[in-house]
Amino acid sequence: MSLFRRISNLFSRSRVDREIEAELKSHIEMRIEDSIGEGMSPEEARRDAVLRFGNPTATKERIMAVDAALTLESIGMDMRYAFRRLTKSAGFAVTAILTFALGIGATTAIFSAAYALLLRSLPFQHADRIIGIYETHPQIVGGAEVNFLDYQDWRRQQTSFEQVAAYSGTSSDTMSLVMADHGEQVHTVLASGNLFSLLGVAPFLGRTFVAQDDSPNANHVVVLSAEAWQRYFGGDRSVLGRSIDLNGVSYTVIGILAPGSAYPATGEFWMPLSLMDKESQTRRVGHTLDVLGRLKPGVDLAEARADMQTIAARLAQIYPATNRNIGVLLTPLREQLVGSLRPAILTLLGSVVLVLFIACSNVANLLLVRATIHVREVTVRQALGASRLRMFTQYLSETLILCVLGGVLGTVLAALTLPLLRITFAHTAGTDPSLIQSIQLNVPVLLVTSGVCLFTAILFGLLPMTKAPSKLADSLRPGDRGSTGRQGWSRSALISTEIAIAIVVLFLGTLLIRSFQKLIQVDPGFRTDHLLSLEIKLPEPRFEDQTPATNHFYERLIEKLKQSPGILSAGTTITVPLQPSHAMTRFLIAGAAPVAPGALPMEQIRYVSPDFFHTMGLELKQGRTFEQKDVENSSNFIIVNQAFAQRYLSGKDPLTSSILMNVLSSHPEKMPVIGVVSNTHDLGVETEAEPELYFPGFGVHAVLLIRTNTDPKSLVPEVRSAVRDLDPSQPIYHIETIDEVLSESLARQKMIAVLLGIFALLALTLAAIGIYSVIAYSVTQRRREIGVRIALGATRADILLMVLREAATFTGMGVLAGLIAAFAGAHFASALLFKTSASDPTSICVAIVGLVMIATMATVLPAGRAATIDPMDAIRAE
Amino acid sequence: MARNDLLGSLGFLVLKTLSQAGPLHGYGIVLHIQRASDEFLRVEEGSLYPALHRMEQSGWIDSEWAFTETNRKAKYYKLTAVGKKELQEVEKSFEQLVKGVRAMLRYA
Repeated sequence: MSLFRRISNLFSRSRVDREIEAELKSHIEMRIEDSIGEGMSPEEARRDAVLRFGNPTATKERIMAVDAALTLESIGMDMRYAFRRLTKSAGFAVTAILTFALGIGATTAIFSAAYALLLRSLPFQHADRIIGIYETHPQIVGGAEVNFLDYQDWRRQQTSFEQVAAYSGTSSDTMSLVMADHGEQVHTVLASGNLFSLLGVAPFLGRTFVAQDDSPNANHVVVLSAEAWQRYFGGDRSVLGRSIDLNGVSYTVIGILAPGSAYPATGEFWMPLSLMDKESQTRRVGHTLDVLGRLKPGVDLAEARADMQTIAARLAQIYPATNRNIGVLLTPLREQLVGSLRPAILTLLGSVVLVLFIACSNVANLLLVRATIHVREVTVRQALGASRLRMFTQYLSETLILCVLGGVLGTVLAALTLPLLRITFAHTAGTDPSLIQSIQLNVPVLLVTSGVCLFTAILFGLLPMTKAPSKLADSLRPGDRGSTGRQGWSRSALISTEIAIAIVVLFLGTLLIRSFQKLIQVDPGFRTDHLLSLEIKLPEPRFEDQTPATNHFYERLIEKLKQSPGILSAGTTITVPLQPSHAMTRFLIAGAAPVAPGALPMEQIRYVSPDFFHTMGLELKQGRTFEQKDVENSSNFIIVNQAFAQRYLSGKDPLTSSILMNVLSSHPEKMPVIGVVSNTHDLGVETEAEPELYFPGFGVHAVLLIRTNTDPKSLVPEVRSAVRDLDPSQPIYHIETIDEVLSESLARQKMIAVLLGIFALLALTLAAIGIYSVIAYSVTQRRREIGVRIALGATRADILLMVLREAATFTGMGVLAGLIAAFAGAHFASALLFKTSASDPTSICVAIVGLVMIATMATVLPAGRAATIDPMDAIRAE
Repeated sequence: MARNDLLGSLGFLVLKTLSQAGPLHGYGIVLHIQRASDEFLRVEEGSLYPALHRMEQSGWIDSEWAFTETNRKAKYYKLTAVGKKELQEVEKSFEQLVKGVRAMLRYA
């Protein structure tokens, strides 16, 4: 009682204070009463009493000081003693501390990342009510961007949202910022007047957009992100109100956003949506807008969805040609920013919980073993008069030391792991950089994981107290080293569970690694090495798509580049390979049965230069590729890939087929197919090759692909100077090798595979420690028995087998249970698997073999020790 | 409990008092020691309470609020089992000390 009471006294001083005061007061008053009884006057009696007693306040303080002194003294003593005991069994202490550190460190780091990416609130007001609204189309997986007129109708007709805002701007929307002496390509976003007020983003300087900026004749104004303000203007405040030149048009800077509040996060310059090209604002074809809505308080997602679906159905009736198959999709903003990461994070979290469980049961096992060893000691000390409480505080302090050291080491481990996680997640395409930055060591998470470990440790650390037999004689009876029956059973059950969980984690890790191996073995359809990619955007209106000036610029550039000895060929396209093109078109195969306008097929298109196919290394399967004259004449020729031919032209000769384009206009164009080329996995290697249509031509914006015979990056200065020779103010940007693009596109799968691989190793290591400690302990316990067996004629091999059999029993049970759990649980991870079955037999084998090998290694050492026991020593030792 | 702060003579007297007279409040202990020692020993009242508190925290004595004969509320202390054992030990070592000191005196 006393330690806790003393400590609690230290914290509830006012209560103690009142009690002491009352006691002292009653003492003095009793003295006064007695003195009056003896004949003193009341004043005299009071004076005498106080004089005898001394200063009551000082006395009170002395009483309270007793608490503090006793507490410190006994804590200090317990700690010193605990340290001495732990250093005596250093192996146990180090194992327990490391196990804790691994458990706490790994779990905290991963939980922190998951918290930041999934659970943390977004840096916007009412972030949980902000919903992304998309259009859907039967041919597009997921949601698509929204048409301007549809957006206007939604905005006017909806009743579920406080505000609906729109912006247009993917990471590929750029403009040339013309500075005094050079040009920069900057990311631009067109935003409706209420985008910033919907997000609740206040400007750092100046103002953001207002409703007037939505009017058709709005001024040319621009808002800068804090980052762009620093990068391009060095944080100069005088830029506010100044005019800047974007694509040759002057815009007035009206505001600068606060750091970290840019939305979309890749944006640098925001302009009013009303400045979008007039054609997009007047036609129901073309889908370029991202739409956000902020739900009215009390309206839930389902109601909003129903509201929007009604509107979409109404629009489909009024405009069947364009809107017949268009639905709506509502996704919370958070979902949209991190949704694709969810299966990965949940799988990681699951593995982390499992590893934490293994770590805890390992420590529990170690403490159980220690408890059995200490039963005798506890009984003897109790018999000699030690209070249970005294022993309780002692075992508690021992456990606390283990926990605190393990926790500190674990925190350090977590702090070291987090930067690695930030780097790995940052390479994951589609993850918001501001979310990545928010991955910090999460203190509540640290407290939870440490708490779980602490709870386990206290629970099992105090076992010697409960295990001690009440009668001294019971535990001291010679040869009877405590009854190991029930405890032995609970240890085996614990170690079997541990093995089962290790099997699950090992299985998961192997599955993901095998899936990743399959992924990197996918042939993307072209050679990714020695291929450089960079982007160019020519200033409009000086240049326009498919005009002679544009064609001329690129043709001259490619000609110049080809003269370099390091460059084999160069070509242009409109999207970086291995990344989906945002350009899609509806079409109809000429001669096919007419379909309702909304049911028209839709596929990706790419405008390419004649050299594109050769540069990429695509194989020509039939017909011919484009020639320079196709570009110059703006020929209506099409090249398709094999996937397209298979899906739409099967049974026909592609080279005699034609495709109808601009099918929604009054004058569809008939374009003959002149060639078929091999497939590329342009939606990423994990998806099947999609049908694609290639057109000849150069756009204002182009992705320049350069095939080299040396390190592609070494040619960047040469490319830069070639562009400068043509136009000194023309920037190039997004310079990367296709190998980099490929490895970036695989970064997430790689990260998951690597992390789960680490977890699998961690689980194996912890399981090995667990198995070793159980067997080693059992051998120590049975030393005498083994000695007797040897004395009675058992051979070394018999003993070895006996110990191995013991290990085989709980390992076998654990493996069996683990297999069942692994098969049951693996389908949760199947969303992460690429061409790998969730019950992949190879992975199961790897898991079983790995665990059995580890178990054997952990058993052989103590078993060997058992087999070499000297029977005379063993029997005499008692 | 912390044995190095060996029970001083005041603690010894308190334990002995409680074992002889049963549960008592602080003031009662003072009076008892005075009376039983024929007014030889006078307890410094201000020191009594820290000592009581320390002994209570060590589990030798237990306390309880109750009413005195004059119907005043006071904290009564009584000996616990641990306290009894402690008292026996202290008595034993005190007797040894006295014996030893006597022997020394005789030798001189």
